[in-house]
Amino acid sequence: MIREAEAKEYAKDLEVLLAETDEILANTEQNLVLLEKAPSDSALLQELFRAMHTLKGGAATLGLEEAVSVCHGMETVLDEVRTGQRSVTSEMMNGLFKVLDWLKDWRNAIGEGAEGPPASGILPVVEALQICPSPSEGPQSNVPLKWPETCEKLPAKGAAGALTASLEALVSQGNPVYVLTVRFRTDAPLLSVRCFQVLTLVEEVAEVAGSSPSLEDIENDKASDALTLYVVGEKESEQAQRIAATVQDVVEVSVRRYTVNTTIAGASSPDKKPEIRVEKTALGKTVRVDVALLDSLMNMVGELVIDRTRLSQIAARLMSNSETAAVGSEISSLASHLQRTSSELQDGLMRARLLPLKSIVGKFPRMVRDLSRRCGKETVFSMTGESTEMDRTVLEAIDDPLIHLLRNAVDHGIEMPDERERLGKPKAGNIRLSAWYEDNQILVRVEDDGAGMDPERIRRTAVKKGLITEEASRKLSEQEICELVFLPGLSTASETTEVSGRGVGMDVARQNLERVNGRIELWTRPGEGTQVTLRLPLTLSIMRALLVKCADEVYAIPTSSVEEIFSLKDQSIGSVRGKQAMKVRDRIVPLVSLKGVLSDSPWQRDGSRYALLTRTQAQPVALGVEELLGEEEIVVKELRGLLSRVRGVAGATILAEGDPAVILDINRIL
Amino acid sequence: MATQLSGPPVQISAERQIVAFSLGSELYGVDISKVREIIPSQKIVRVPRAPEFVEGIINLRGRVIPVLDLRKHFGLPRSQSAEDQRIILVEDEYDSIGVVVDAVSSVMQIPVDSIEPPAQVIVGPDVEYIEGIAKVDDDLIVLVDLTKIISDAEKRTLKEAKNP
Amino acid sequence: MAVAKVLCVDDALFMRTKAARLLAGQGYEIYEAVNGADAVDKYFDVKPDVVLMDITMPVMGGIEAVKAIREKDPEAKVIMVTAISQRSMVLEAIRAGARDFVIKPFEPDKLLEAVRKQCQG
Repeated sequence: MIREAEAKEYAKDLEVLLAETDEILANTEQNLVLLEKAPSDSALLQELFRAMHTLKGGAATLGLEEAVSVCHGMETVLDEVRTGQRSVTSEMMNGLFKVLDWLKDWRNAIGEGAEGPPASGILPVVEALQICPSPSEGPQSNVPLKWPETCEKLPAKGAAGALTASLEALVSQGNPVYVLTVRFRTDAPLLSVRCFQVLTLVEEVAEVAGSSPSLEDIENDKASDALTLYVVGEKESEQAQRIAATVQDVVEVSVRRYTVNTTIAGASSPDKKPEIRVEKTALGKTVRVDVALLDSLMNMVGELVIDRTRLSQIAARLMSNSETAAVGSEISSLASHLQRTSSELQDGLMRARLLPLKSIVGKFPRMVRDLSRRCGKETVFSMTGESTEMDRTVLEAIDDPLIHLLRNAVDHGIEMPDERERLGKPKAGNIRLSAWYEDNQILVRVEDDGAGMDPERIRRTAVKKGLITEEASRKLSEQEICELVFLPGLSTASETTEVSGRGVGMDVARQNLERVNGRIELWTRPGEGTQVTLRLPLTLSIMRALLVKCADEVYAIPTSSVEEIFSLKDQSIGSVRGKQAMKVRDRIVPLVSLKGVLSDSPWQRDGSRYALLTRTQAQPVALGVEELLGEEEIVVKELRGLLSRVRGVAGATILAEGDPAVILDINRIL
Repeated sequence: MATQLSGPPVQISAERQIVAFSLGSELYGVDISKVREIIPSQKIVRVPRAPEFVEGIINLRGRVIPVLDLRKHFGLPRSQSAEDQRIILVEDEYDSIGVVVDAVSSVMQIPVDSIEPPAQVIVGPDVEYIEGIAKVDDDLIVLVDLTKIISDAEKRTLKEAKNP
Repeated sequence: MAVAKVLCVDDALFMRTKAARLLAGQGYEIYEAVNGADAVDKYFDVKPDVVLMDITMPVMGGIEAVKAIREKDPEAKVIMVTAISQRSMVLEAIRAGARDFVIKPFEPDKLLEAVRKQCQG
């Protein structure tokens, strides 16, 4: 029982930790890229250090030791750089990126409930980092500068002998001196700080003539599990004993009168230390909401809509009778108010689903950097409009296309540095990602000032691959030829390099966008660069739906119309007056098969393996389906013209594989 | 696509441009100005309870559009989907509509004077969709007005939906 | 007896939630702050009985916050929440007036004990 509760608690903790880890890793990645350009930016270093520190703390709390040791290594290096003991080298940068990659793998493994990768795989890199030499070239001294200790050395106020003398002097003056012996748990962490805490607290109530270990030693972390304080006054020493006993990790406090012989030193004097300043972080007035919660809210709104429909029906019934017409019309106006409210609710929830572009572009600077290095190119990557918000589904749909476009920009767009110099361009190529709102659309653009596309080469490839005839290709403008890259099957020869290879081409990018009602536009000019613009809808009609398979076709059934899903076993199916039925708890529910319903013979027995308990307006019905493919968020596409009035068909959607699927309106199909 | 004319519009063309396609063993033709695009056959997803001559829906660059099977309209036997099968896209009031055909032979120039009015050749319920019959070499090509077929079908389904 | 109020200050959501959940489970009234400056504001707003203070935070660190709070309220009871590696920082915090410290990752009992003691004293 307790174990179960613990496991639950752990799962909750892990969830929070993972969310935070994602943020930390994304920020760290961006900051590392920045650090490479500004290796002595202290705010940046501080931020990086803090991030590792936070992550380490979180991992330690959940006992994820492997990550703790890796974070610790990274933290140490960053700390040394931060405090000026080391400086950033490119070797160090590479190591830091490697460690970051390990942490990402670790996060993914943990997120999937797997064991994280063993730290042994990365610890050598961490160790190498720690001994990574500072750059020896340049005029500056090779000797690592020791930053002033955070806790400066204090002048010892009174040597050991002097303490004995002063204690004896106190005693001789008639001041009773008491020896307070405080024992700590031997395994208590930060013993010296505990000592310091006791000392400080006792000093508030009594005069402390000295201590062992001395204040200086305590401040320098020389302490054991025993602390002796020399306190003046009988009453005061009793108070001191009480206070000391309240301190954590203290197991015993004893007091005795001072007689002779002990060696102590000490006094306290506040010292100054460099203050820590961290770049101001913008803290928006936002809260984190689990998407699952939003979805369940959305489903509840769906139920509201169903209730409203029922209310309207009842109202209509009442209004048709003159005796109840007055009540009916009252209910009717209530129903229409309910409709307004629920559609506003729906709008609000849709807005709550919006996420900033920021949430997917964080990885891009690093990606562009790595790609550029691998291609031997120099690039300057900039982003604007990262706070532009769009629906989660849209964000997911443009993630891969953006990656592809950026890869293209680096691999095919930007020329080699010497080539660029020869052309009179700046050595480093510019790649820009920008996003903004325009009319009722969102535009996201990737542009570069590279070589542009070569229409002649694209034309020849397209002809060679039989995508267009030589004759037809001659009639196209250069712009039209360049747009051939969106055709499936056309990828220019160099597309298969290590960098661009990933199997996602421009045609897939286009397909992804079309799924979410977006468009992709291309502008290119040889020698000047390429600009690809994604046009995205501001709002989307999205629903959660179950995808089911029936007679080899996939259908989408809105989740909101399904109450429960059962796996069908023969014994749970019975028959009532010759019609199939199944028992759901204490109810008998008619069982029809989707296949049968679609071919207008609902009672036919078939190989249904699952039953969906539907939420129809009148009576629940169990709908048998052959296969359940899962639950997904789908973009609803309206069917017009010929298919606009087909009973039971609510629209269509395009599945991830690109095939269309019909969305069934369960209430109307039964 | 259309040629801009600067001179007086007299007798510039005694020919019509036709996209010829086959359905089973018969040859049909549709005026090229009505054809938006011809695409290779692709997965057509059945729409339950749709009108009979609607073969299903396809994904045309992110748009979901209906595809018709004219065989049912013309009372021809259903053929197995062949490799040559194509979908001819024509415009309707809303968007595009696809029409499945067995093969698209080519774009032909047909002299106007080789086209005979339909009434002289055949009579039947579909006569109003037939613009004429062209004789090319030894083949007869039935010129059909796809747009009219589709818009009539749409009207019919709307009416049926209103009075079930 | 009135419910004791605890202000949890940490920039890490994870740490805050962890501490808050633990304390709320024991009937404490929990307030949260995300950095030192926020903590100072909330302190004089809420007048908590005990403050749990992280050390390394953006905008304003924990030590600075302890100083700022203690300057106006010498009776303020602040417990530092610290990593074991931050020894000198904790010393500094205690010097600045923090009453106690607990080590991150904290053992629930330790944290509860520390808070209870500060509430009594």
